[in-house]
Amino acid sequence: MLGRVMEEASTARPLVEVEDLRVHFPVYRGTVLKRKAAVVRAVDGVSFAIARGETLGLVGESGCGKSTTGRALMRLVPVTSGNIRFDGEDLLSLRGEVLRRKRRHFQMIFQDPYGSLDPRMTVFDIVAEPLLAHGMGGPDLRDRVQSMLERCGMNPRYIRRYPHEFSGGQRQRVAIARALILEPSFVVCDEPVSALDVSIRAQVLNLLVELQRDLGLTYLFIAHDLAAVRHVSDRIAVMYLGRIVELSPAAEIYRRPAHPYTQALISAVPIPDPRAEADRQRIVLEGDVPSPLAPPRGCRFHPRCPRFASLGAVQKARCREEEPLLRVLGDGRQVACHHVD
Amino acid sequence: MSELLLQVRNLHVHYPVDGGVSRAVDGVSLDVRRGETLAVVGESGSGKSQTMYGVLGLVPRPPGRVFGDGAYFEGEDLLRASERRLRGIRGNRIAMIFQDPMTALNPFLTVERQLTEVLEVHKGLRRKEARNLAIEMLAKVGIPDPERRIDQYPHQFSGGMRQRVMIAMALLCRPSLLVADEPTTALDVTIQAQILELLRATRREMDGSIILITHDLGVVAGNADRIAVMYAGRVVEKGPSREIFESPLHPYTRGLLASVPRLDAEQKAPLVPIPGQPPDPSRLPSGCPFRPRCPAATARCAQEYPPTRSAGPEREVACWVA
Repeated sequence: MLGRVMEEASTARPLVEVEDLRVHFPVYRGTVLKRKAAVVRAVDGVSFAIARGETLGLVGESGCGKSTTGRALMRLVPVTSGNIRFDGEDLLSLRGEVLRRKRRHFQMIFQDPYGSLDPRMTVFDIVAEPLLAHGMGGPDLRDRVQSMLERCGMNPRYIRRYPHEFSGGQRQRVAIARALILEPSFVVCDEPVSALDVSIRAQVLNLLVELQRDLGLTYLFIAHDLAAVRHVSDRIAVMYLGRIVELSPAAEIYRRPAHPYTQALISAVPIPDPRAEADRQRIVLEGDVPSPLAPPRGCRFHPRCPRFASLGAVQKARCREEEPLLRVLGDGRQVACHHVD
Repeated sequence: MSELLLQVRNLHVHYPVDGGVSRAVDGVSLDVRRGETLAVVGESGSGKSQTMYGVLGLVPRPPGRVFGDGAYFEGEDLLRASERRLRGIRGNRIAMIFQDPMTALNPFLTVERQLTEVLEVHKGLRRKEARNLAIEMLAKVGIPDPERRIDQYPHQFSGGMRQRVMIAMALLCRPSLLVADEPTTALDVTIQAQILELLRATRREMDGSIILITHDLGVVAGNADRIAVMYAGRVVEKGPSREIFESPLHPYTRGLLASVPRLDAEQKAPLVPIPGQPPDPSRLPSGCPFRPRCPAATARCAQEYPPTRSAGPEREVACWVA
């Protein structure tokens, strides 16, 4: 099954294609005479593609635009410019009822299983609702809800209970069942395990991997936990201040990160092994992430870049003036840095 | 090196709940040596923070109840100390930093006011002297331009900078024990690296001890000399950091280590999750509270809580099977 999916992935058109995506949020000042005071460039020129059956990991620190990217793909935030093609179709041109009907093919799993489930609905109603909303009820509704819950590791006996009766891990299973009941082909997982207890995270990560294999799903897996992302992803995109700075196969990103920011990020992730920790070279970045209201000119990372200091005057000027584009290195890695060969 | 700074013996922190008792801490014993970092590791609800709240007199009483055989800090039993005495110790001999500095810093006061107050209350310094010391400390914890920033309010600082302010405040009185409760959990990973680096430097300089409370095994690995693993209000395993990671004895510790994805692991090597979920501390199962999730449980585990026993020169474990 997996082999077939992979084969298809290499020949067929990607399921999701994103081209120069920009999501800018205006910031208003004043209450009566509102005027635009500034623009938050949450996502500022992002391009990538996700093959069928693939998991693309999206990592970065708070405010880098990773969640906004996921929401834009779900058509949950207004897109400023760019293109999103889903299964070859121009997603941004869809409106109204056509868009609503299309939604069952792409679904989202959120971080907070406490906030994403309606506390007044039973588990059954929560999982059945999307089917009913899309007019896909039918006489076998109960069976389908039960078997999806079972598939997600929930005992179908609990079908008449309410979300507050469950732990975080179980609620996340309900949220996953709800997202998958419409048999979507593409799922955005936005920090799906960050709110869960350490001993529960592996259960949910394993479940997501299993469901992908069995149902042929395509994932965009958004998280700040690089170790979890690397565990589930085929390729990983690293974002910084609204742009992708590196996009590489997951196996490569730890072994030989190309972008100076990726290198710093990797070196900052603690490894649960004292010997491994003692042997590591740490790159501790100075300062904080600049505001996406006013990203630095040129390369957005240059004010914090550990490599910048050792560059010559001409090279430095280039970092200050010219925004580096994502370019392909010989070995399938893509990096947006003027000074990586 | 072996001199004990803090000795906690059989500590309990209980809260009444409908028709019963929630045993947040259920008989914890810990030692902290001078100059070491002890990591207390556990999931939410394991009692790791409540243990320190109990020791420091921070459990609201009533409804909470704190009792035990003692919590000796530099020879003095804090469980039997007066509130007045505890106030003289907290923030002075024992300082604390929390996950969210915004809840610990007063949003209505400038950083200067908050830092100098510590020195005026505990050391009887005058405002001017205190201000100079505070500026010096802010510079030491890596806050740029401290003469100007000291007059700002907490909301004018970023998350990482606020945590630095908290650390500066904690270190002002030169405490011999720093309790860091999830100090980097709310921070991004590159900022976490900065703060952990600062804590390591701090410990070298202050020549005191640190209790690092965390759920993050990665943070523990690079920063602790010894580890106490907590589960359901008890310490299930204790020992030197390297030994715990290399040869964990308790099935819970083993399970935890096998279930965490590692950045340096073989890709897609399957994670082995711990089944089930942690118990409700007001409805603990009989015998060992980990038993319902334990792959090695026997009939005996359902009957009696396993006593803590020695398992090597520096190791202790509470398990019938290990």
